[in-house]
Amino acid sequence: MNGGDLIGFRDQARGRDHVCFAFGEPVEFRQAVRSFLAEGLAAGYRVVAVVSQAGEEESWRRDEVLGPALANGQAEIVLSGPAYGEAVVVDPFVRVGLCQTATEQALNSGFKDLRIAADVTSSLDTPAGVDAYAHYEYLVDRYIAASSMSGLCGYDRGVIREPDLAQMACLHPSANTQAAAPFRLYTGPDGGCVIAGYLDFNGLELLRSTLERTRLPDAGHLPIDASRLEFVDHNSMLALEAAARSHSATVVLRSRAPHLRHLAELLELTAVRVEVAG
Amino acid sequence: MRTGAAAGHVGYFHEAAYYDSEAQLLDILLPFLSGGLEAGEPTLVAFGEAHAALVQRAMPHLTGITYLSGGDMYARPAGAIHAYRKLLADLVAEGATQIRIVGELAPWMFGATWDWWCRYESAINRAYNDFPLWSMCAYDTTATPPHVLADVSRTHPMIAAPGALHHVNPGFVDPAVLLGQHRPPAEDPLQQHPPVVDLTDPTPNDARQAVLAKAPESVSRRDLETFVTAVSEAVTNAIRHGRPPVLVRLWTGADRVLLTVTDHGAGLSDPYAGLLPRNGLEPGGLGLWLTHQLCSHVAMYRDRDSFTIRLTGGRPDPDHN
Repeated sequence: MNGGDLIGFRDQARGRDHVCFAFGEPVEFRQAVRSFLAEGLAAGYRVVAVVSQAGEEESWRRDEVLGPALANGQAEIVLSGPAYGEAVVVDPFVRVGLCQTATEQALNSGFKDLRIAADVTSSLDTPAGVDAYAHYEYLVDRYIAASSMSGLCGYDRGVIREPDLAQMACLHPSANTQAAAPFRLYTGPDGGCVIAGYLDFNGLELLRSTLERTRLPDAGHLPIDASRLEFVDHNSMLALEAAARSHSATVVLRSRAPHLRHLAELLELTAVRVEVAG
Repeated sequence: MRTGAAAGHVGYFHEAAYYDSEAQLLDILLPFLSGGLEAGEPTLVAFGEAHAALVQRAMPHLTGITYLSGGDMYARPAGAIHAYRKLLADLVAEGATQIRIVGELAPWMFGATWDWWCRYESAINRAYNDFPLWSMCAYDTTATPPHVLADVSRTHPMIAAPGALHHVNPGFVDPAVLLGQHRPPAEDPLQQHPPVVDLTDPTPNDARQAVLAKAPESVSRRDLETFVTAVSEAVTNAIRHGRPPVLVRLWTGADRVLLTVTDHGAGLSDPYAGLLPRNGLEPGGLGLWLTHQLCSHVAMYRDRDSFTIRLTGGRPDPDHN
């Protein structure tokens, strides 16, 4: 499914939507929410719009698409409270648990899927909030990839610091153009880790913070699908090596680029292995 | 314990061996190779096919010599240094107290890419100085261009002569001085035409995309991806350690690509940058070392107000296949 230019790039290969939508004006976000949830309604999903003010709820009830769905129970408005926005620092695991519960309820009610759109700007108020929310976005993306849920996360560019926006954008498989990040780290349809885009010096600090905030598992092998990674520079390879070593793990990059293996050999990496296919 | 002419020497004993006939070459080599075998030292020959066969025919009684086939080891100077340092380290770890190697550069290296093989000959005085190595670099005075022989004289502290003679070379120039000169390379014929890409202050990704868009299809995918990696490293270095504006220009030929990255900083302070192993290199040193490992040719030079690194991908010498 593709909402066209309004929502921006959608990673079709992933199969389940998890969109980072950065906006400058509230009307942009409202239009994206409307489009995203309308898609869901047409597909037979339960849709939820998370709002921060009661006035917004009234506005949606008057909407020509969402209004009827709200009336017949296919759509729901949730006023942001403990679930979204008000907590300074989310508990990532609790939040994913809430998503899981809501998804199961939707399925039990006979809907095919659950689709949620939410402005999550207020969750990034503090550095600790950014840390926690980044971890949450990584965990919920893993859940979305394997479940019957999809989501659109709204970020107000006028409020959020640019590095924090880039951090959130790179943890979604899909994003609009205002939410640009040089790379995306997300969960593939097979449940494995995917890195797409490119890794070079401009994104090095973002890569380091992403690896730290997603909390690589301790020990063992971490396969990463790098088939959609256009480029990796040596600084980024060393960042992957450092992250893997700190967790006593081995990162296995699965790539189609033979030169990447040569690069790893030249760098004498011991915690990053490159497997070339195709 | 060191033996032969290198007895008492610490580190790399680096000799040029000039010859004007096969007989003279063998005259120089016989005592060197037989002495190494008699002393139980790893004794290696890194010659092309013709001279390797010459040695084997002339010295069939010398068993135990290791013949290095060269191949990709001599594809680029930084690669040769990397491979030899590993080889020498392994031999020392196995107990070698001295290692003897005689080698020769292929004639094609005396062409458009001689500047970086000259840097190689100079830099190895330091790169191999961690090891008890005695090596002879054989040069045919009847077939080696005069400007190459002049550089050979500047880069070898010792000279081996027929009759088992060895003497100090008065023409030797300290590598730090010679390498610090960063002599401009010969202009590549491609540069006689306007560049197909001309960027000012590009991001590394801008530069990569420009190269990918303009590279000729005759350059293999692997060569192109390798070259693009080198381009990205060079542009990143210019942005991080140079001074703007950073200018990137690309020329393309039938089976090669040439790219310059020019910034308005002072350039490199380390004369060995790019060739020596990565440990302890100046900022940007690892990226520069990788560039030297990935390109067919690299030249670096400065003028009054700018520093340029020129990268070649694909066929390095326009006159050599």
